Order: sequence, then C-alpha cells, then structure tokens
Amino acid sequence: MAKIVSGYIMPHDPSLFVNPQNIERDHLLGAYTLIREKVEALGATKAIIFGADHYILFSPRCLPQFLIATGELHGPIDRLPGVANSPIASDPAFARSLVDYAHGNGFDVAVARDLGVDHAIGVPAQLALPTDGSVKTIPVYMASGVEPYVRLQRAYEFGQMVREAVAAMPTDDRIVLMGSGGISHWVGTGEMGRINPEFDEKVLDAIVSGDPAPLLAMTDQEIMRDGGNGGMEIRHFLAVMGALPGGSGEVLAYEAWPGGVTGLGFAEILPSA
Amino acid sequence: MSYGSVEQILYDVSTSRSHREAFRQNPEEASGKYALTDAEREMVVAVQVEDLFKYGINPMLLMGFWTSVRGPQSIPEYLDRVPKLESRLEALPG
Repeated sequence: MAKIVSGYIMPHDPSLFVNPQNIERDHLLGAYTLIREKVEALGATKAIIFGADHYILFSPRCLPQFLIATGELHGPIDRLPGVANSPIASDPAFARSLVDYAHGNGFDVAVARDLGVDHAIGVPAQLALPTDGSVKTIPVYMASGVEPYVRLQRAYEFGQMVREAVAAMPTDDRIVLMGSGGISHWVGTGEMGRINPEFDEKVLDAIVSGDPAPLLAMTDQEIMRDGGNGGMEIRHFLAVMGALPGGSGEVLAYEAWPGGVTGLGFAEILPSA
Repeated sequence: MSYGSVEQILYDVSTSRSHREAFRQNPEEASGKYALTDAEREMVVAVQVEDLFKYGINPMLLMGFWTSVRGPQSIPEYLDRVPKLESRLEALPG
C-alpha cells in the first residue's frame, strides 16, 4: 500500500533567485537542499506538489479550481536564475489514478495532459527533489492566485481526499507532499515589499502544532489584510495538513528576507504515529 | 462592462510575445479585436494601472502587463502608481 511519508512547505519567491540587491541568501537556498536530502533519506518515489497559477498558465477563458497534470512536465516556464527550465520527471499513470479517485470522491478536478509548470511547481520540483528523476512529480494547481479562490476548508478537504487516495493505491509508493507558497506577501499591489512576520508566525505556529483550526478560521479578507494577496497561498499548506492530520511540524528555516517580497518559511510535517 | 475582456488582453500581452510586440507597436489596433468599452480601451491603451487596479484587475496580472509593456526596470514607477490592496478590502466578502 502506498503511504505518505512526509510533508513540506516552502516558498517560491522569484526574488530569491533573481536577487536584485545581491543580498546573502545561501542559507535560504540551503533549505531547499535540506529538504531534498530529507526526501532522499525517506526513499520517496512521488511528490505531490500543491501550488497556485500566477496568471501565467491559465487565462481568463479557463480558470480551474483544482487541476492535476496527468502528462509530461517541464518548467518552470517563467525562467529564474539558477532554476533550470527542463523536463520534470512525472508519472502519468499515478496522476491519472489520483484524478480518478478525486472524481469518485467529491472533487471534479480538471486535468492537463501536458504542462509547462510555472515557478510555483517548478521551484520545488527542481530544487527540493533529487536531480536524478527518481521522485516523480504530480502537480496540483489550486485557485489561490486568481479569484474565485478555492475555499480554505475545501483546500483542507482536498488534502484529506489525497490521503484517502494514497491509502487506496495498491503500489508501494512512498509519497511526499509539498505545499508551495510564500507566507505573507503582496504581489503587484502598492504594498509590495511588505512582509508581516506576525502573520507568518501565526501560520507557522499552526503548522508546527498540527492544528489547522487557526488557519481555517481566517476569512479571505483577513488574509488579504494581514498576509496580502500572496498570503492566499496558505491553501497549499492546508492541503498538506489535511493529508497529514495530527502531524507534528518543525520549522526548518524562516526569514523575512530583505532581498525579497515574501515571508520565506520552510517546514516539515511528519505523519502522526 | 467587459471586465473579462480587459483581463484577457492583459493576459495575452503578458504571456504572448506576438501580442506583446503588437501592443507595443500599436496599442489601439492591438486592442481592437477585444470587446472593450471605450473607457476600458482607454485604460488599457494608456496603461493606466491606477484605474485598472480600481477596476478590479488581478494585481499579479496587472504587474505582468505593466512590465511587458514598460519593461522590468520600470517596477519602481509601477509601485509608485498602483494603489494599495487595502483600498480594495472593503469590497471583499468577509
């Protein structure tokens, strides 16, 4: 039986790679390496990565609430220094089985049969997974960047569904989950550059405690006010938490890095005993 | 009101090299095939990010549109001009 062996959250702030102010960042890039080493040590075979489209992939003509890529992958298509835009190892059969389970269990997800992912999926896939392609990526896009947004509760329930789907799979896959997103950040608004460490701490505390209630209790208006429009990406963290109920979390790195625009949080969530 | 068409032309200019070049060369003509009102077309053609933001355009899309037309080096000017998100919050559902 397949099993979820760990979950992670991590940012994908392009500023960290462009680094226009040339500020020291090796310790933050090292957090991706640390996660990759953990994934390798766990013997993982698949990574389900939750991310948001940044109005790069999906146009106003078609905006899915949930989308799973079931074919070949490459990216990130929005090129970033130090992050290769190259093929990403995928497992179409596994992805399709996840889609089928979702369709039978209350989530009518859309699919992409071939996908050039953006940095939300591309950064974790290229930096936090082994470079030999031994861990296959299954991208899950949620409407966290473009409204109408996925409801917070729905994001959590999606994670619960993923947990059930994995438990129903007859393979011996070892699966890691990755919630990709900055914590507080304002993108394209007059506040851009502001970081709210208090909001970031509240989110990380919830992840460490394994209790999603403080996050689920937030309204979108509160998130926008305290965490910015980019803060809507906490949905991806909730999906990971939904799949790892009661899991104990640990912050691997956090910084309101002055060279970027995002509260940069890296954390691990281990399954409950 | 054709909010979706406004977002569509911004999206096309942001993500397609041919659309971007066409818009840069002749924004009036490039916007002609989109079903925009006169007021919308004026905001788009003049890259009036203040008004487009107030109109409700997604900020990420708006910034992408701006940098596609004016170049990434113009981000400081964009941030000087674009309103704050807090100005929109009252309109959001709780």
